[in-house]
Amino acid sequence: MNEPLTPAFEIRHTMCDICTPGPQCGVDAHVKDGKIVHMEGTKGFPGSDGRLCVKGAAGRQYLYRADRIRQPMKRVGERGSEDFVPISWDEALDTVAEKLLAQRAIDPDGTAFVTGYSKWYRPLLHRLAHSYGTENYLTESSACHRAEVMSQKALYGCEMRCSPKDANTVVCWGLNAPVSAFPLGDAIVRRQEQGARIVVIDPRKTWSAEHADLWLRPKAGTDAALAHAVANLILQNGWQDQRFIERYVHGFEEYSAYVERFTPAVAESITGIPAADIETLAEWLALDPSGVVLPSNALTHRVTGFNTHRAVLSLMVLLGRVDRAGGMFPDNDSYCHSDGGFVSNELAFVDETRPQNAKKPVGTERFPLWRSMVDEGQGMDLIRQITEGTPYPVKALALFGVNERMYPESPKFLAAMDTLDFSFAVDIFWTDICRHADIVLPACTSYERGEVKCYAGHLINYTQPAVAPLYESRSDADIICELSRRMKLGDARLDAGYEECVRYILEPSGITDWDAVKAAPLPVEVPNAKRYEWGRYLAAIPTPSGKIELLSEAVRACTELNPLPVFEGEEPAADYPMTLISGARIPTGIHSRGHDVPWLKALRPKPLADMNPADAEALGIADGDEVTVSSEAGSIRLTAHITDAAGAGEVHVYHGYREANVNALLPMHRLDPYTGFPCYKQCPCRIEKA
Amino acid sequence: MKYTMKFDRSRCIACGACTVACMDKFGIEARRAEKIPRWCAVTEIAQYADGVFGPNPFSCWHCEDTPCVKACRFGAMHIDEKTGFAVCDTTKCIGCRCCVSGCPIKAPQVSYDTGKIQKCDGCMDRLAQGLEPLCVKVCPMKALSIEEI
Repeated sequence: MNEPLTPAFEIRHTMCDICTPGPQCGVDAHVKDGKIVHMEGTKGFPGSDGRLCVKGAAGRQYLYRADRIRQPMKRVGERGSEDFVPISWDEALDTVAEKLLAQRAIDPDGTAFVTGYSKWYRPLLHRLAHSYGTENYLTESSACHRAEVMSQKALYGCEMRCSPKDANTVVCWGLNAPVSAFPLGDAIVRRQEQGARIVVIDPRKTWSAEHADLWLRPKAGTDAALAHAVANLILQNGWQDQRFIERYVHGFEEYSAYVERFTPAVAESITGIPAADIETLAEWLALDPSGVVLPSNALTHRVTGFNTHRAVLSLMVLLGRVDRAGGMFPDNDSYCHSDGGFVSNELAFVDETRPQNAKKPVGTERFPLWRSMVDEGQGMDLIRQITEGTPYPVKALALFGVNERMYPESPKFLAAMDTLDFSFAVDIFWTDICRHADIVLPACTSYERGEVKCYAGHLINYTQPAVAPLYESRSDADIICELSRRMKLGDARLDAGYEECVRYILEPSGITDWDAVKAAPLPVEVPNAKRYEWGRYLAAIPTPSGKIELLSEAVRACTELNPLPVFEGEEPAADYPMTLISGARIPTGIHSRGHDVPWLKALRPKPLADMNPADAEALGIADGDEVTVSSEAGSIRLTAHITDAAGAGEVHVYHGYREANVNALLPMHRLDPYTGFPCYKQCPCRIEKA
Repeated sequence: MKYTMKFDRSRCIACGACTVACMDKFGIEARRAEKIPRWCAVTEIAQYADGVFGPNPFSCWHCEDTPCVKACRFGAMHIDEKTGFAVCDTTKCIGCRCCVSGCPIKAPQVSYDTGKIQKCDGCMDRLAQGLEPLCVKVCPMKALSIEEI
């Protein structure tokens, strides 16, 4: 019999940051003798309300993972070896400060400040780069969500979104929300239970696809052709909002002339989707005035991603579902990509110390559209720039939570690190990057630190550490501020520490008593939050033409690229006839973060190559066979998983595994010319029995 | 007060959150994952039918017939009077596995650590304090629920 629970522990409120900056669920940590002995969700927390996903449920093992970095370390052996010795924080920080200042004396732009997955400290790191004297601030957003933002900016001039809350037709385009962000997934499923029709467009047979009222399965990389066919049907049937288009839309004539060629029959031959299904989609979406389209990042993760995403976004414009109840409305980036219903000082905070004569950040000469829309370097060009030294050499790297397995041809990242004058890595866990760094600094998790975070519904939270940072680890933000102090950059705000920085950034929220926010058991309401007033966006559309741009003047202004969201197909290569799709979400993984958590590993012990039964039979591969997946960039070994989830001719592999790093197979040169994004969702490959 | 555990198959995404929560509660190590009182995985019937996937929750149904209780010769497996759950009194259990043989889904399992039966007890300890069972609380898609009968 189980013993009854005894109140021998204290419950402390904290937050899960394993996936970020999405749901970030509230966690009740049961703390006993300074250790977290149990975690469960916080009831009443916005979005999650006591629930956790499988990763968050394993949070305790994530916190106590065996490969946590315990102390600052200094490399004494060869780069890439395990020869490190522990050093004091003082020695570590002084060494980093000294080396960075030495590079600064030569050329501040020879240093790049790079961050991987965590987002909560980003404005501080961005400012540190500026105070140091460079605009070389690069983030994992170079391969995640920024291309979606760029597509929105090209079309609308700003970030826009919509909600499925009141929609009777919800089109989930490449979106499997129950697995990738469960509060949204739950909201969509609830709509379906209340009678809404759910359409899922996905080459992969996901849970959402299987439960949809209509599932369209395009061949990988053909979504733009499908979107254009839907647009064409809308226009052929006169379902568009003509008055809205005449008043607010730029480039309609060019656009409509272009999409005319995408008849249902043409689209069927390109996408493999029956013409009748395309007609159903167009009819459902166009004839239900509450209908919405929810695209996902996945659409942008390919060489033709920017145009694919724009093609999909254009549908809401044709139907005039912009800036009216149930339609698209602008997003506030209150703090670190989350909307608390107010405009913060974040941009001013980052801008305040911007250097005047800095060189163009990494990747921005190659991707000028990125430069025009994103105040960061395009990190996908970093390895090339280090290796080739053009347009100028990068000789030092400051790496916060960076994992090379995000980058195409990832092993080259480590090789590039070995040629540097200096690099240091801040991480929670001992990654491969650490082995190639000169100094390694231990960071702590969200359970061990205090941090601010905004939530939908005009809420704000300020967590407090549930336990003291493990071993000698520190919060990333504290490390950033301490580096500012030790380098004597003269940045008083950064020197004052994290709390002073966020107080300044969040001043417009109207919160004055931060101690009350910290002490509150749940996120509190933002006093100065404002409800969006319909009509504000259309009154001053922030694009070059002052209209919503189906034909992008922003694209035309800085590139030779096609300003229309054109569809470009790709013929299968003779040597690599199949399509590799990496990164489609699995419940137990978020990048590399779940793979070394024992409970999560138990649920999915091995890296798998999902392939279709028909392909498997043709290639003589059985479920559980060892297979080799190859591309022009390399090959990896995996275990075959024969499943209907994979479409014909496709191989799906989850990323982030040390023993089978799928992104090593993505060629570095296969980047979207508009955004610089890599080809996670469409890479020619071959699979054979090992 | 008696309870029944409900499972809404149409909402289960087979993510395994309930499984991990259960491992956490029972202190089960990962390498022993096959002995978890609540297990959930996607069972794919793709090869046999036209691509049907099904979440396959594996846990004690706390059924009315209770073959596990009937199979137990030591009075260890019994119905808890307060909750109506089929539970095991480990002070009486000798780990003979008769209940396992009796159960159509082999829900009771012998713990590696104690050599005795370890199975879902409906989180009776939590219920006694007015809390939901952990698997019910954690479920991101609200596929699990508990009702009083």
